[in-house]
Amino acid sequence: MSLIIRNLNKSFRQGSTTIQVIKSLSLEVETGRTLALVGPSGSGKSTLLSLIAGLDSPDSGEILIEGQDIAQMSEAQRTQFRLNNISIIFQQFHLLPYLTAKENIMLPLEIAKAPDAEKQADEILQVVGMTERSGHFSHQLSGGENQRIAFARAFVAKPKLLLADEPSGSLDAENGRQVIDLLFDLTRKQKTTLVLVTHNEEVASRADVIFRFQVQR
Amino acid sequence: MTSLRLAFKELIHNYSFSALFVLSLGIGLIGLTSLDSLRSSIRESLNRKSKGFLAADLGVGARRRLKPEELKLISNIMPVGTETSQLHESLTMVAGVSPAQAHSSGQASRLTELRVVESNYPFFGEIELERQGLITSNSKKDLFVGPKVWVYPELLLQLGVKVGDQVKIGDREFEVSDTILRDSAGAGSDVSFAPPVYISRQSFEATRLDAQGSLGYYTLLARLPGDAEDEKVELLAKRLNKELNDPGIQITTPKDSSEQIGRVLNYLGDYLNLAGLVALLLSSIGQFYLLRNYFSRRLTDMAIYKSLGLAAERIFAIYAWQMVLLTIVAVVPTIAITAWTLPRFTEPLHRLLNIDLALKMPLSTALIVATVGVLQSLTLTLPYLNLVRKTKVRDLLQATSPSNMGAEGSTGLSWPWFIPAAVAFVALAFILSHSFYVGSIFIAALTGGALILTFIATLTLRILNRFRWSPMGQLSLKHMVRSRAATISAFLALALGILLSNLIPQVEAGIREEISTPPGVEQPSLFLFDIQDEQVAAIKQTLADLKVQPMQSAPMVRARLTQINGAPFSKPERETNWSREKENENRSRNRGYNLSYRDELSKSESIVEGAPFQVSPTAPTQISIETRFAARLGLKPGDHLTFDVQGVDITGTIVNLRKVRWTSFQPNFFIQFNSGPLDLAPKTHLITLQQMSLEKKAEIQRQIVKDYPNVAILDVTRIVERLLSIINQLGLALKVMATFTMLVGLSILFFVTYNQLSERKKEANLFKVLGASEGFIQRVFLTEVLLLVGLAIIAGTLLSYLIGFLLSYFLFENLYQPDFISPIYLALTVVIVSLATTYFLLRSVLSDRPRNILQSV
Repeated sequence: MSLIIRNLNKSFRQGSTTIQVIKSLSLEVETGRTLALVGPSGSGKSTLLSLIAGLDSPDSGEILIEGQDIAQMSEAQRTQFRLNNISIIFQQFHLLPYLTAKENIMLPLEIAKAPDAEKQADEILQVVGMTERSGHFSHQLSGGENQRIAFARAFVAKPKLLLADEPSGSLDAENGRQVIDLLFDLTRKQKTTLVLVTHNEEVASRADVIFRFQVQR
Repeated sequence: MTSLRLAFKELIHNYSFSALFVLSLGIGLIGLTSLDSLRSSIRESLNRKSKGFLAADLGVGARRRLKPEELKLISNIMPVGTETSQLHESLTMVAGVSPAQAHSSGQASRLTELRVVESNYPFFGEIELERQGLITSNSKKDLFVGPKVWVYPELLLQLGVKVGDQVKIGDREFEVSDTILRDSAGAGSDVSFAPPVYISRQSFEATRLDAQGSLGYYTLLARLPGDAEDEKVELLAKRLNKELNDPGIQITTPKDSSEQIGRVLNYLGDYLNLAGLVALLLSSIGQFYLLRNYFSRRLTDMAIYKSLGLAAERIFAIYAWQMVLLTIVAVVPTIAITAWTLPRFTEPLHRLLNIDLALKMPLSTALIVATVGVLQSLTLTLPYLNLVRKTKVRDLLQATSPSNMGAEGSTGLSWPWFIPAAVAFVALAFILSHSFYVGSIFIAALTGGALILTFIATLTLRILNRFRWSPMGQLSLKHMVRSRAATISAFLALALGILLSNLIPQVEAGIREEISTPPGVEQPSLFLFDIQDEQVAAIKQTLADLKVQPMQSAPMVRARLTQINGAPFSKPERETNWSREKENENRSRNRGYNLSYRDELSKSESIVEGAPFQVSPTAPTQISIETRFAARLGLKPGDHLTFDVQGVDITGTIVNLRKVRWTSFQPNFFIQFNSGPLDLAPKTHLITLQQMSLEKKAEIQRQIVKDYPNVAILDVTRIVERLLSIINQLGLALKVMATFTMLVGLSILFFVTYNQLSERKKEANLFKVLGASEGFIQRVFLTEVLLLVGLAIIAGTLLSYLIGFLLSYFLFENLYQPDFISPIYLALTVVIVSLATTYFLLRSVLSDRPRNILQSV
């Protein structure tokens, strides 16, 4: 799934001040390629991610995903589009604490009313090496394990576009390296387009394209 | 002061928790504040009027004339300058003799409370008459000029006479000289059951009722010289009580008098207080849940405080201060609202219950409520404060995310820390019910009910969770099963509210049915009492001539209990009784008794312990005792009792304890002998007559009043009507309290839902990120609330039927009156209110931007 962004602008109001977070941004990622968004905190990386995901609307500009402008869609259309095409991975994992690992993975499939949610969840659990931990709750898992489950939840829906917000940010170096390996491995196998936000230059260097943000003064 | 400052700042920062905590505590305390204010207002009003109730500083009374030696003793004990006045009260028939009735079929008659007074009556208070105005001790009274009576206007209507007409009492006719508009001593009298009639002592002698053996209560009223202070009167009462050792003689002070009048209200107050306590418990459940959530989020803060070098005691102080601050914020408006609102209910209360009192909130109530509030908050917080000690700074280093500290089920609470809260609640139940018995039953029922409800909820949810449902249903169920604290808190608050709201109408219906038509027992229609020994045969003949067969006839012997198992049975010392049990025990001890005798049990009696009487001419003296009376005096089968019957000692052995259905209105007695030992004792008789037409009743009354003026006739139908009307009033008060409890339950559901939804904004956003529509998210949350509310309604209602059935089985002889209509209305209301409030709350959750879920923007 290709991603084309043209002349994108986004600002926020903080009290009486308007902060221009994204200004005239344009970029392009081809289907199955990986893009790393790098830059200091507050430079607008996560904002861009939320705009691409359709979680927020830009002030102006186009976000074309496979030729469809998500910025022009209604809330309901964006939700449906997200359900069918996009998955997101968070730094803080965001697993539902009252669901087991497997139930968390099944959740997007159940929302999409997929008939074989459990089978698919079992398969992806095996892929991420978490079959033994399928019945555990989030608070019973380590940070690395939680992130693996979050990956499994993201990939089980076979997204065409994957958005990852600092996926190794909460993990130690070893665990961080392992989950990033897993991320690139799964992306490659599923031919998913990946947009990755990171502070880590080493991680960024593994992407096909690197886009560097600067803080607007 | 750092602790206080930090406490304040943290509360401000967590304004949502602070607001919910204050609201849940405030709403729980409102019931208690109102009830305690109501109780204080009643007490204050009764105390203010107490001398008027007694019409004297002190009264010495008995169900017989005081003997000359007793009068002499009283005179010796009373201070010089004491004035006395004799009052004789008896239930007596009064018949109308209007000119119109002289030509009609006969006289109308009515049972009245005859009040025979002397010219200096009343020492205190006043009687307001229509013609003569206010009558006090020094007023000139026309009662003492010729044969005259003062009556209530209702009696005039019932007898078909007017002022100036004649009425017949005993053998003599009297002129109705005035009507009573208000009587300070009649505040406790039940005008509709036996309206008081005033008559002078001289005139009463002319009725010859005394000579014919009419029973009654004789009181020597005293006005002490100077200003009689309460303490002085009480000391005098104690001395008289000690010197006059006949338990049948009662010493009454104005305080006793007001307490006697307020007894029914006290009992009602006790039960209302328990309903108030349920409301307080429901609010505690809400607070427990809020505190749990709050402190699970404060674990990180505690660790941070520790890492900064703040001592555990200081951290402890921060959170203790928070509870005190929140309690103050909850208590002050609660007190202010109650103090402002209560006086506005004076008029409606007067109209509704015909109680004349000025409603206001005293300072003592404010102090009690503040103490209960602080105690409740601190005892509930104690388990969490203990976490200060358990929290380690290293947790900060190890926690991968703040949510990992204090995740659901991992707060590490130790249950022994909840013991102070439980002890405080149990103590409050005893204090508010004024009874260890009622308090224990209440605690046992509440704990049992809560455990059963929790079990039902847990089991049902687990079973439901095993089945495969739609994704929405599954998510709702899983959240409910795995977020136990929230689910059980909201469920219990609602289910207990529903249970109480459904139970009270059922119990009321049971009592109503039991009183009006007790199954298996025929209620009599008329009671004829004060029948002399020599009149029995003649009255039976009169009844036979009127073609009426008596249902039952029972002899009644006045006696005094002098010994139990050979040990003297002394009357209790005068003391203030905290518990209703002690109050009842003292009342049981401090009285003369009516004994009766027969060999067989009536249909309304059953033996619960011991054996039936042996019936033979040589049988020993056997006694049967009513169970509750036996419990009050600590009696059991095998005990020997000695009675003084008009100067003759009679000793008998208790052979059985009897359960009596008093609502059958059949002639039953606490103490029943076998036939034989009391046959020759001086006695009166009581005859009951079966149900009959109104015309027949009137005919019998006319004939009996005409031929036997000393015999009093009680219409059971009137008593039943009066009791039902009292039950209506009591039921109404309890229903108001149950509705309030229900509202508290709903509020707690609202608070928990609000807190849950605020906490679950992130979850809603995650759903959106995962592609779920708003409709899906709405349905997940609404399904959850519907499931919870539905479960609470079903469990609460079913349990109310079970408890209602058990109560009717044990208390009302298996008379079960389930109500299937009102629970449906209640259920519909609860479902609509819950879904509507959840839908409204969901709007703010759904309006939250899903991009907030990303780490930074």
